[in-house]
Amino acid sequence: MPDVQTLGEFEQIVLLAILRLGENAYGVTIREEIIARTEREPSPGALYVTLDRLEEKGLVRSQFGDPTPQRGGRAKRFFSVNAKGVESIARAQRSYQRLMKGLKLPGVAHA
Amino acid sequence: MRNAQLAEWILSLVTSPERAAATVGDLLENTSGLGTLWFGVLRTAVSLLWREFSEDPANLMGLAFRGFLLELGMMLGIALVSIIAFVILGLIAGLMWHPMTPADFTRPAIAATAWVYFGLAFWILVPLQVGRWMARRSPGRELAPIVASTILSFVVATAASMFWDMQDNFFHFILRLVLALAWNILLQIPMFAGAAWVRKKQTSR
Repeated sequence: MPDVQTLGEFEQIVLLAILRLGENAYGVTIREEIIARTEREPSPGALYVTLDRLEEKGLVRSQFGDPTPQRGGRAKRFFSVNAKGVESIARAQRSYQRLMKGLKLPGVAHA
Repeated sequence: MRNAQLAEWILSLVTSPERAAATVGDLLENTSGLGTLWFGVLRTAVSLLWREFSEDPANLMGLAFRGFLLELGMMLGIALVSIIAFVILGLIAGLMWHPMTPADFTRPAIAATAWVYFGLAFWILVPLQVGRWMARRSPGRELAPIVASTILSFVVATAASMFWDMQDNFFHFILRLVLALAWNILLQIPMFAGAAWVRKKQTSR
C-alpha cells in the first residue's frame, strides 16, 4: 500500500482548487475558485484550518511571496500540491468513480 | 491600518506571525469593510484555536484539570497566608494602638480593602498565573489549554447548578446556570491573558 492519506470531502475540494489555480493559489483565489466551482462558500477559518492540515499531512507546501502594497505590505502565502497530494487526490477520485460506475441515481440526468 | 495590526496580533496567538500576516492580507483583500474584516478574523482565530484543542483533547483536558487543582491550591494557600497575615497585623495593631475585635473587620474601609485584595488575588492573579502555568506545559499551542479549561469550568458549573438548584424551580435553575456560565467565561479572561503572555514570549524568541 503506497503512503497516501485519506482525504475528507473539503480537503479534496481544496486540493483540486489549488491544482486548478497553478502558481496563483493563495487564500483569496482558492476561496474564490471554490465558490465559483462548487457554489459553496467556505468560511475563511475552515479554509485556513484545512490548508494547515493539508500541509501538516505533507500533501501541499506553502511559500511566502513578496509583500504587496495592496495588502498593507503583507505577503501572500502561495500553495502548491506535491506528488503525495496528487497521488492522494487521484486515489480518492478513483474510489468515487468506482463507486459511481454503473450506478444510476434516481432523478439525476447522467452524461 | 491599526485594525489590521491588531488583527494580526490576535491571529498570531494561534498561528505563526508570518501566517497571521498573510491571513490578514487575504482578509483585507477579500473584505469590503471593517465589520467583515473582524468577522473573518474572529472566525479564523476560533477555527485555528479549536483545531489546536481537537488535535489532543484528552491531554489538554488533563492539563486543564491539573490547572484547576492548582488554582484551588493557590486560592487556599492565599486564603491561609492572608488569614495569618491579618492575625499578625491585628496583633501588631493591638499592641500599638488598641486590641482588634472581629467587629473591626466589618468596618467599611477594612472590608473594602479585603474585598479588593481577595478580588485581585482570586479573580485576576491566580487565573493569570494558572494560564501561564498551563501555557508553558503546552508548547506550540499555548492557548489550547484555555479552551480545555473553559470546557471543564462549564462542566463543573453545570454539575454544581444541577446538584444544588434542581430542587428549586426549573426557571431558576436555568437562570443560575446561565449566570454561572457567564461568570466562568469572565474568569477565563485573565487565564487567557496569562497564556497569551507566554505565547508572545515564545514567538518573540
